Amino acid sequence: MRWEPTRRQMLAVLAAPVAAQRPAPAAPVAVARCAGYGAELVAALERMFDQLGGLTRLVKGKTVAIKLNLTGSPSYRMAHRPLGSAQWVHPHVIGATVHLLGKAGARRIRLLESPWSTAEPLEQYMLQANWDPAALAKAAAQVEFENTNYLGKAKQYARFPVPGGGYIYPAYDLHPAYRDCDVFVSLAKMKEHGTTGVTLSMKNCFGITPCTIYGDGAPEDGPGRFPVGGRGMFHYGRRQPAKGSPPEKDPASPREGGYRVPRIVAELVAARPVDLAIIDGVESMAGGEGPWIRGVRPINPGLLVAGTNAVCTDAVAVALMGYDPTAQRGTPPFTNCDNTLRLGEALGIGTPDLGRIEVRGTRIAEAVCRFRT
Amino acid sequence: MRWPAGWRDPSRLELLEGTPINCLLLAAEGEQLQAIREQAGKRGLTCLTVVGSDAPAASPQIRIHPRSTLDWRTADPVLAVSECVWPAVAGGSGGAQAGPTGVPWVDSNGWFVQLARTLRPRQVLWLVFEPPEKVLLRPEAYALAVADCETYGGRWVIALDAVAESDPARARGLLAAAGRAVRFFMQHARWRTFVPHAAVGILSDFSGANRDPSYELLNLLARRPLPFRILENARGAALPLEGLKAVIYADQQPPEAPLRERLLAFARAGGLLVTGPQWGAREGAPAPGDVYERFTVWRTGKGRLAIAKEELSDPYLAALDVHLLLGHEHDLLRLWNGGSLNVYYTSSPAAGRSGLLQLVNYTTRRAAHPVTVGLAQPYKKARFWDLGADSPRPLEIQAAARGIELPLPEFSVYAAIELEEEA
Repeated sequence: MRWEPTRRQMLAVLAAPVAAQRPAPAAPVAVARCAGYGAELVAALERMFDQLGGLTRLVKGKTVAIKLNLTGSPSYRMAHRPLGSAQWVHPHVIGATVHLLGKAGARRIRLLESPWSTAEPLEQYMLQANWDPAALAKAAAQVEFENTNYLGKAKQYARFPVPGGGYIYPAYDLHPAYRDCDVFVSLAKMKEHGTTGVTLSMKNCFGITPCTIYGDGAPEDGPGRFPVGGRGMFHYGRRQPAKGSPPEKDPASPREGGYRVPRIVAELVAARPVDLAIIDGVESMAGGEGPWIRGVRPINPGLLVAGTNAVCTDAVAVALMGYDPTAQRGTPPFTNCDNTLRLGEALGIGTPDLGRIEVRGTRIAEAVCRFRT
Repeated sequence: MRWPAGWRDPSRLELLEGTPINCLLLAAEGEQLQAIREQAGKRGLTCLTVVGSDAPAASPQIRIHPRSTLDWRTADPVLAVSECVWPAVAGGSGGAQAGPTGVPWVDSNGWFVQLARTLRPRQVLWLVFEPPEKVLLRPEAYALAVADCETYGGRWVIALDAVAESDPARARGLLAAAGRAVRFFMQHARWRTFVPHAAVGILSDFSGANRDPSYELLNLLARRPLPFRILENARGAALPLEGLKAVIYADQQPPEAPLRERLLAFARAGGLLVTGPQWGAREGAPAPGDVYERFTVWRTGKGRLAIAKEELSDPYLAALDVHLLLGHEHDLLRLWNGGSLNVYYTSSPAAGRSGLLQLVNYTTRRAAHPVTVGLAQPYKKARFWDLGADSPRPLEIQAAARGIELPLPEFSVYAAIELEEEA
């Protein structure tokens, strides 16, 4: 089936190049030192949100969807390090964020993730990591969990056109939870990444795509009922999405992960903008995004980063990791890939130029934790 | 040990020196091996001649029963079973295949040993299998073959590969490795008296048309890890269901009335009963189904009755489904970086119960990242045994959001963790 854009989608596409010609927007970013995941966490996050203008004006009376960063199987650990202290965002950061959102008056808080190749409820996935999802559910009044790797009980996928028409795909079909929210939060880990150089609030959005459509095991003739496999389609471009979802614009474009994945991530953030980016850099891993990457090692930056613009927030986080957020391909951390932040800038999402970003709280120079020495 | 057919020189018996090998299985009667028998006897070794499963029982002979045709009613004091698998990661050490769980398949006899010890608890179980051909295995693979049987209470009849049969130095090394493993398990013989922890009961008659599916279900459940108890449906209303959270009744025939009532009583009391469409009449009120929509679920009393919409003919799905239906709230144990491991979780039958966790590593190599074990039971003391160790090492116990976690030292083939409820 050929994809026919609606009038609204066409207007969005036509409007984007105009936006892209203007300088990408800049927004303040809050940085805080946080030595651990104890009582200091809530205070640090609350102070950061206040530095950004307060959560109340952003979330009061609204439905907030939080995309969690729970990459890979819950059965992998880097050595003995719990997942929340390595490749996953820490459960206490989730709990503290939910608590503060509730305190700020959020009407409904939805925790979203597309867990690895399963239709299991998200709470069940968390249990396998030895987390206590019941504690997260109690952190605010109305907390829900949703596995967005498949349609679940929803009726229809929601289409998100990429403003400007996109690099690889013109639009994405996602779980409607990403549409049916007033505020979208990307709650990510501060990590490096084998394909995109860094995993931060932008790369976290790679996982909003359902594997029923974009998975290696997705049927050709339409979305599968259940997710099967990972997103090799995005990495290597060996096939097109399930029929009915927009195919690639140019199947002759490079089939290389370092070209494709940064573009797809930038597209996703352009199509489903992040209203609040939060990065857990308290305890993490260096050298890759998960224990399946050879040579990863523990690192404790002791940092939290937050902002209302995903590119700006990630730019500050990249700088805190000891890198230049505007670096070109070939320069670490973007050694073998294009720079997602610059691609996001070109789509008009935000600027990675530190000279245009106001950092509130801890200064970058005082808090840099080099991921590569 | 299965004496190699080509070994006619009694001097080869010297290769057994220093090992705990005390019995030889010889392929044939007659003059050819008479010298071996005589010398073996002088060394205190028992020699048994292998005969077919249909031969009359006689001493000093041993009947070997092919697993596929094994009649569980056989009264042999030693139940020797062939058609077992060589334990390993499927596809060999260089080509692990990923299963649908994202972890590699492993070939193991552990589930069969558990089954045999349940159905024939008074018989000694010997497993008869040979190393794979055209593969030169490391000595650790022989230790694994021992551990895969001994962990669950069986015994491997040690067999050498063709190269070792013609290379005494290799034979000596392999026998030493296997012998060290056997000696370790002999030193811990009391562990054989321990009883399995279980969240799930597998109920079947394990015969006829139900044999293959029930065998495969046991095999696949052992990979989850979801500790199970094997239940014989012949026990009817006397089934030992205590402590179980779920029971799978997967036989093709509906159960007899007393057994049916026993199972329904289990569900009404809060358990989960998983069965197929052969169950017939259902009871209770409709309840939320499984995420994959393969079951209709009924709430009955405090528990649930989950009836598959189609026959439970795929043991992989059945193993997956019971875990999904049950949920991870009831996991007795969890493993991190343990994809190549099978785990056997037991406890002492004595008062003041102590637990035992045995872990068998089918790669026979240390993992890139060490294993962490999570246990729901908040044990206070833990000791780690590496295969062949003379003494255990104390283990750190970490409190976790759910139960405790034990960061394990690296190990390549086998480890055991003794657990105490009192510090």
